[in-house]
Amino acid sequence: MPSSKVINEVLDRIKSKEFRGPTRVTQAALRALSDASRASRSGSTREFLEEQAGYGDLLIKARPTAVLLANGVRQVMDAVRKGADQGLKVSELQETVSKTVDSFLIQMERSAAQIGEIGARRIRNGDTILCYGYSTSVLSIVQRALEQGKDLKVVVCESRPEFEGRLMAKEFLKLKVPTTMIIDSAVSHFIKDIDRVLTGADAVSANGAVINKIGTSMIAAVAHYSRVNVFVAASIHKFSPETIFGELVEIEEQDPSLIIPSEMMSQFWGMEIRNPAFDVTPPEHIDLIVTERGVIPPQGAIMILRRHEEISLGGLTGAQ
Amino acid sequence: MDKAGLPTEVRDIAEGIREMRIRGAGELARSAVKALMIVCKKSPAKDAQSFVEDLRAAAAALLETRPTAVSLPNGIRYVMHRVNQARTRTDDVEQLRLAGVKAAEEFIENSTTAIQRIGEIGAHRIQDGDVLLTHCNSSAAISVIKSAWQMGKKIRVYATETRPRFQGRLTAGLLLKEGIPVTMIVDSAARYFMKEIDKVIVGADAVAANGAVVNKIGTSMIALAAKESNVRTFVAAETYKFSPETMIGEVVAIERRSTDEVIGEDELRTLPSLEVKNPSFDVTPPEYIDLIITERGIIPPQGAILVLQEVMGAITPEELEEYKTFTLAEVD
Repeated sequence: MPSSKVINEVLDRIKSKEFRGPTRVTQAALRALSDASRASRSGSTREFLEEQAGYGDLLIKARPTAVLLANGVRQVMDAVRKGADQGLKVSELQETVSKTVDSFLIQMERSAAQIGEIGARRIRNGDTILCYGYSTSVLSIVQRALEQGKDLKVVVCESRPEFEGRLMAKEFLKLKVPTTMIIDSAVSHFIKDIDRVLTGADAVSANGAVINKIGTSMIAAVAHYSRVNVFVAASIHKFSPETIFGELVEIEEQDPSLIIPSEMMSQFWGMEIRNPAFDVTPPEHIDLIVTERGVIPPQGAIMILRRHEEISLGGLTGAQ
Repeated sequence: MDKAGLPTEVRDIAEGIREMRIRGAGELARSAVKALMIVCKKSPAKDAQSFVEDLRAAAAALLETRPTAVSLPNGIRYVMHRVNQARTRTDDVEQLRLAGVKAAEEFIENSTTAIQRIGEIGAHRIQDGDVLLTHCNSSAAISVIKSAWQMGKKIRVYATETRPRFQGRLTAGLLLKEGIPVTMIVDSAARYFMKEIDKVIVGADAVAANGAVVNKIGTSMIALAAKESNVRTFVAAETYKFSPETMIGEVVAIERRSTDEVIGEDELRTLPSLEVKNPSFDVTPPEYIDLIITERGIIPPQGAILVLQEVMGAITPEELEEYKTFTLAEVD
């Protein structure tokens, strides 16, 4: 197993939940991959390829649900393999890694801006928007809608067990948008005051199901049955190519002490704690997905995946 | 007797309720009814009219103490309804005393055994091997679960932690003590696990005339997730939780609790313009509820109106003014 200080560092930081939202995780992980490649002392291209693939695997496994990260790593590995096939030297491959990472990160930023622009068109003046979990894309949409002079209000769920909603509220308050915080359980109570629900995504599967912060699917169900629109903001890089071939997106379980603090556990001897990080919202409960390529119905996910030129069955198996 | 002409025991009980020394929906109602029983026994009235007036004065003093719990006015109403009925038959004070005392004893007896009865009745609806999900901390729901377990049914329970005050931890502790396997989840994970659940069982803070259930915030979302997954939702509720006001169109107003239950004061201070809303309850529509388990038997939610009429009699708008429950609040 290859080992690298920068990689280990970023793995620890991912584990300690320092980064909120898949975008931040991906940015940090890809930068680490680029740094690790630059520090590589591999003597041969084969050695370098193996080393990079090893780092890539470690990073992907740190957050298996973050398809964005997997797609980023996949893009880097595709470029490196292509370079190696063309007979590039290690130093040139190192250059390829850092260039691919840079361009992916730039693409991510551009995507966020485009999603903001497109998504904001679907927000109407006077809307009250319910947000759930931490999402860079959601922030981008709200920011753009405010810039367009729309008068908005947001309602933020606290998002147990990690309270990402508090961070989200902070960001909204910076944008000077009137913000109300509620507990996750109160969504049904307040749904009549809501015009649309807006969430991000950790992954979108081939059938248009959205994998996002635990609780999203319950909120989407309430909204659907209350005839409130559910919008999901997701970059095309979050669409999961594996799901075309029948793979399920893996749902990680998190530390149980987030639910019952360790020092209290002795009072609950024998109790099981289940703490899934994500759930799956079925396409029937989603009105549209806002991507940088435009707005699609969830059923259009397959179209995005098929058109996504970087993704091919060959590239897929290669990244494993 | 004090200045207002109420026996001192009645004053003491009213004080106990006001100062929250007397707690819990059942205990509140029983204490108020006990106070009325004392008035029935001790009233110096010589004629029916002044006897009923004495009772009314005591009822008013008791209603004033805690205008927010459904159970307390219901207990009072239970006794008053029966005294009023007796009055249509007789003007004899002694007869009325007897009717009042009998009604009070009946109410105390029924409500004391209600939780136990609900457990016995509800347990029949739980099958061996069932996986149940419960929300918050309801003694009626726990009674059903425990009775089923004691009948030898191998069940498992998912308990939601129940933000913001984590009452799910109390539930988990009580069930674990019985040896019942418990899994704890966050409230928003209820839909994620719904495929593993056979029945949802919750309590109620109030049941409206149309069968809608007012219960801990989050209940309606869980009931929807259950409905959508074809999982049955059972509500365990004593009949003194049924709200007569709703028979004539009143809406149960819902208490907003302190914001520091949601976000700590220190953190809130860093977010000065943040508004926090913290309602205690939500309303689950009858369409999401499969049955309500009461101590008088199982009813479909649409049968709530029958229970109300049977237990409380017909409610007139005039009577409502007297008994009005303004806002429903959490009863510890």
